[in-house]
Order: sequence, then C-alpha cells, then structure tokens
Amino acid sequence: MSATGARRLRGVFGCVPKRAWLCALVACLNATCWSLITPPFQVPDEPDHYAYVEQLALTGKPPSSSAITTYSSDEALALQGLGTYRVRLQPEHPAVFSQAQQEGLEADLASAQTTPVRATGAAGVATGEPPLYYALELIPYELGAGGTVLDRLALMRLMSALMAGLTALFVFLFLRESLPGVSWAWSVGAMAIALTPMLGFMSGGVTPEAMLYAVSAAAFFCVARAFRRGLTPRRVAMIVTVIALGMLTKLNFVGLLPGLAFGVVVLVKRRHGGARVAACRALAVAAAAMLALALAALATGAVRHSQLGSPESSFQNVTGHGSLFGRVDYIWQFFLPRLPGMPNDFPGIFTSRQIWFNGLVGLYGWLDTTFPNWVYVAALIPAGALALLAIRALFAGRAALRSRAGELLTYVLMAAGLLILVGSASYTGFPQIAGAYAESRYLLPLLALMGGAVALAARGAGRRWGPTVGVAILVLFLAHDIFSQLQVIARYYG
Amino acid sequence: MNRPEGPRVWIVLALSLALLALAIGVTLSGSPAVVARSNAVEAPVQFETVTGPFGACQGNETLPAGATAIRLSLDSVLGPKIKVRVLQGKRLLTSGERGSGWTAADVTIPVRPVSQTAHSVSVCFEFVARYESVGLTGEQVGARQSSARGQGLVKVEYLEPGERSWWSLARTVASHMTSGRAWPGVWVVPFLAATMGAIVLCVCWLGLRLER
Repeated sequence: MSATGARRLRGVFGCVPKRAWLCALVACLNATCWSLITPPFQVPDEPDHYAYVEQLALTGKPPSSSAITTYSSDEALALQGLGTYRVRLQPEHPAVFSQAQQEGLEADLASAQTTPVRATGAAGVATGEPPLYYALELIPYELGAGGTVLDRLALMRLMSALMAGLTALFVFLFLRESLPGVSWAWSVGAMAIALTPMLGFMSGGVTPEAMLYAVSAAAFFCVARAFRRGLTPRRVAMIVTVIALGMLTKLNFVGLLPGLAFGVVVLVKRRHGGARVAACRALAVAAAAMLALALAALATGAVRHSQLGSPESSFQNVTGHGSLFGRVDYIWQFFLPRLPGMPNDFPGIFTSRQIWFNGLVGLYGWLDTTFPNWVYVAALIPAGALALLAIRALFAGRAALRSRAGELLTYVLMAAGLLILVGSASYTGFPQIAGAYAESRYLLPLLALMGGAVALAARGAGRRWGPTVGVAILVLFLAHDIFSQLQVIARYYG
Repeated sequence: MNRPEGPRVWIVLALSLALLALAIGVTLSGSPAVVARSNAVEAPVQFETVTGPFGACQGNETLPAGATAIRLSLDSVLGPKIKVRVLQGKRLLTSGERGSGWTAADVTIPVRPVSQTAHSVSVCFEFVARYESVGLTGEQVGARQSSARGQGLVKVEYLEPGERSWWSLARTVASHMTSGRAWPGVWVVPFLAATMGAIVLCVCWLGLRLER
C-alpha cells in the first residue's frame, strides 16, 4: 500500500473515537462468549446456513434445493452425534455432555472426516438467501478445512462475532451523527447495544442476520451523516454501497429501502444549484452501476434468479392471499394492540408484549430457552423507566425535532418498512398459523434506533443526573446479558 | 459551561455492580427444578394436532408431594393460555395456569405444591387454540388405559426444586460445558470467565469516563 493510501486509511480509522472501538470490542467479545455457550446448531436455522456455506465451498455455487432433511454426510453425522433434534425445542433435554455421548460424537465426527463429502445442493430455509454472507464465511470454513464440522462451525461463528463488533461500531457512529452535542450519551447507547443479549446470541451463531444487523446499522449511519453534513457524491456512493451490501446479505434488508429512498429524496431536495446536480448525477451513476452489477451477477450465475425471488424463501413470498384490509389488520395486530372494529387475529395474546417485548427480554435457542415468567413482568419496570426518560428527552428537544422532521420521518419509514415486511411474511401462513416469524431477532436491523432510544433515555435524566443514569443503564444491560447467558447455560448444561 | 455537580458516577457504578453480584449470588443459591416423577411415556410421538377449544383429563397419574410445576408435552409456536387442574375424584388438589405466547415442544405450568403424594389422580388441562395449532405428544392409545380425549396419553412430568444449589452444581455444569463442541476441554469455562471479566472492565472504564 502506498504511503498516501496508508495515511488516508489512518485518517478514516483515526476519526473514529476510542470509545466506539471499545463498544465494538465488547460486542465482539460478547458474541464470542455466546458462540461458546450456545451448543452447535442450536441457533435458529444454523444447520441450513452451515449447509449453504458447505455447498458453496464444495461446488462454488449456491444451493438450489430447499429440502430440509438433505444435509451432506458430514453435517448429518454431526447433527446426529449432537442429538440436535432431540435437544431442539425440548428444554428438558440438555446438550451432549456425558462421556458416552462425547465418545459417540467423536466417533461420528471421525467417520465424517474419512468419508468424502458430496454436496447435496440443499440448504433448507437458507436456499433462497443471497450469497454475500455465506461467501465471507468461506474464509473460516477453509481455515478449518482440516478439522471437523464442529471446528469449522466454531470458526464460522467467530466471523459472525466480528460482525457484532461492526454493528456496535456503526450504532456509535449513527448516534454521533444523529444526537450531536452530548457525547457521553453515544457511549451509553452503543455500549448498551453491544451488551444486548439477543445481538450476542444471534451473532454468536452462523446466520446471515449477524451481517444484516451490521449493514443495517451502517445504513442508518450513512443516512444520519448525510442529513447532518449534506448529500455529496461521496455520501451517495456510501449509501448505495450499503444498499448493495444489504441486498446481497439478506432479503429482509428490502424492508429498509422505502425509508432509505425517501431519505435520499429529502436530501436531494435540500441541496441547491450545482450541489443538487452533482448529487443527482452521483445517484444516477450509482443506480446504473447497481443495475449493471445485478445483471452481471445474474448473467454469470453468481446470483440466481431464485435468490432474488424464490418461493422457497419465506421472506420473499409476501404477496400472499386475503384482502388488503385483512392484511393491514393482521400486520397492525402483529405488532400493536388491536383497534376497535378490527377482527381479533391474536385472541388471548398481547403481541406487543408477549411476542416482541418478551422476545427481546429473553428467548434463546430454538425459541425454547426462556426466563421464568416473573422476569418478563419485572422487566417492564426498567423498560418503562427508560421509555419515560426517552420521551422526556424528546419533549425537551421538541424544537429541534421539528427542524429535523424529514430525517425523523426517514427513520420511521425505515422501521415501518421492516415491520411491514415481517408482518406480511407472517400473514402468508395465516389463518392456518397466526404468528409465524414472531421472533424478536427480526427487529434487530433496527438496533441503531434502539441505541438511539437508550441514548435519549440517558439524556432524558438531565445534565446533572445523565451520566449517573447512563452508568446505571450500562450495568442494567450488563446484568441482562449475564443472566441471559446463565439461563442458556442452565438450559443446555444444567 | 460546567455541568452541575451530580452524584459521583463511580459510587453508582460500584453500588450497581455490587447489586449485580448480589443478584447473581442469590440466583445461584437457588436450586434447579428436577423431575420428581413422570407418567413414563417412552419414545413419545406427536399423536394429535388440535385447534380450537380443547380439554382432556388423564387418569391414573401420581402427583408427588412438593411438586411445584407440571410439564406437559404440548408443541406450539405461539401457544395459547393453558389451565391445569389435578383432581382426586372430584376434589381439586392443585391447579395452575400458563399465559399465552409460549414456544416449545413442552410447556411448564407452575402449580401450588401439595404436602402428600397423591395416587390415582386425574390431570386435566384445557386451552383454546383459535388459530395456532397445538401438538399433543406422548403415547398412542392402546398401550395405556387412560388417554387425552381417547386418542393418546400426553407425556406429563412433575417438577420439584432440586436438593442441590447451582453453586454446588457449578463444577458439574462446568464439566458439562467442556463436551459437545469444537476443541472440547477444560479451557472453555476459564476462557468464558476471563472474557466476561474483560467485558465488565470495559464497561467500568467507559462508565467512569461518562462524566469527562
């Protein structure tokens, strides 16, 4: 690398505060802990994601079949040795730990190593996903090529843990741009996200969602930066690059696009004269480049049409059935309390609390590892206090909010787009199944906004009490993380 | 402009960390629930999937003294509210309920413990699954005389607090954590402890600098 390049790189990284790196480090370490605590293949859909990477490694092509029971011989033997399907969804069954079980597992893994592995072309629910995350996971997969399936999986999980670090880093940078003025609050928001157990749990497994969280946080950061500093051709390029990365990571990213598009329109309208022309020109070039790349990827077979819209991929088939009103009613009730006049799609279930709040408080493994019920009730107290403090901060800053209406609306649309996407995907199974995809992990692309809410809560305590409350918030999140890890340890190893 | 003097951050940090340590200590002094008894369904299978209102009683069960929860092998993604009653004849021995929204292949319902083991009791459970189906797992009818709605016998386990605290089980749990993973060995627990320690130090470092 030339001296100029090195200087430029140092400049880019040098402007990132030490505290942001610290938050990233904590998120990485936390996800690493989760990767060790959670037994292999006990993160949702992990066997399928592993199968995708293995398929890529063996054939250089993405999988083409969504058959869920057709894993390659080595993975199938590992799943059998681990008793994955006995442990999954059955909290009374712990993970492998007896000497006999360990010996059986080692025999299975040794037998898998001596058997030539053939690609099956199947990766279950992961089949329809874009290939970028899986392509990156090829690096640890190849590094562990001489080891067993479990060695490779452990290395691949570390790659996901690195992405948790990126998520926390981008959340910090987002807060720096969107909440300027009170710098200590950025640390509180980003560190709280770094300690969020659901981020650690998901990023401690092999799943493209780990990368989706990082790219989504980067998208929020890019938009916030452009709103604060103005839209330039360089910032257009950044936004478009993040969009391309997001689309190549997981299709849920589509949910953020309407908000991103709205934000870019607002930003362009704010520019005048030559600056607006330059921004528009950059947008046009970027859009053309994206289109050309997409066409090239399709033409060369790097991405197949099925991965851009296959019926196998649950999140793509969202057009579904039923009336528009039925769909709107369902999506509303999927997240929010039912309004008068709406049919009751979730009888006896308060979705906001029982699905989403409780899910964020603690629902690990294959949704089979929970806290005792009283914990979810008790969690309402700190959550309510944080919400009140955040509202207080918003009220105190209402004048500034009015002047930043376009930016706020952009964030709201990004969040709403994601929620509508998840709700629409869930609606495809209704009325046979109410509440498919009712998993809080699907909300984590909004971690930047959650970090913003925490930072606002700390600011809401006022100038005198703010840092003190900030410290209490950090310890609260640390406690949440530690108790979540203990709960998972108790479930699998107790 | 200087910020008004607030409570010292380090005091709050120390107090909240002490509170956290105390909470961990108290939690680990509790005992994990253990299975006191079950209706010994071997090789359970899902024999029926139900939607709508459902209620069933299984006779010939034994409710052990001190059981604090009953675990039923019911499978659901978004489970409905479930009520359980244990009856001896027509006399209610104990009851409990679990709110809706659970996800798993079994559901644990806390119940009031009884002082003496009761034999030949009926375990009755009921729920209303309007949209979400609930799978009943256990044994096909035929092998046993009692059944849930005449088609099978749901696996039932009675849980009670174990005799040993988590503290006394720590060594056992730690040894369990060394298996079933990549590079199995004793390194896992010290590594986890060191990593969590590093995280706590990072949080402290950052917390103490919030005032600056």
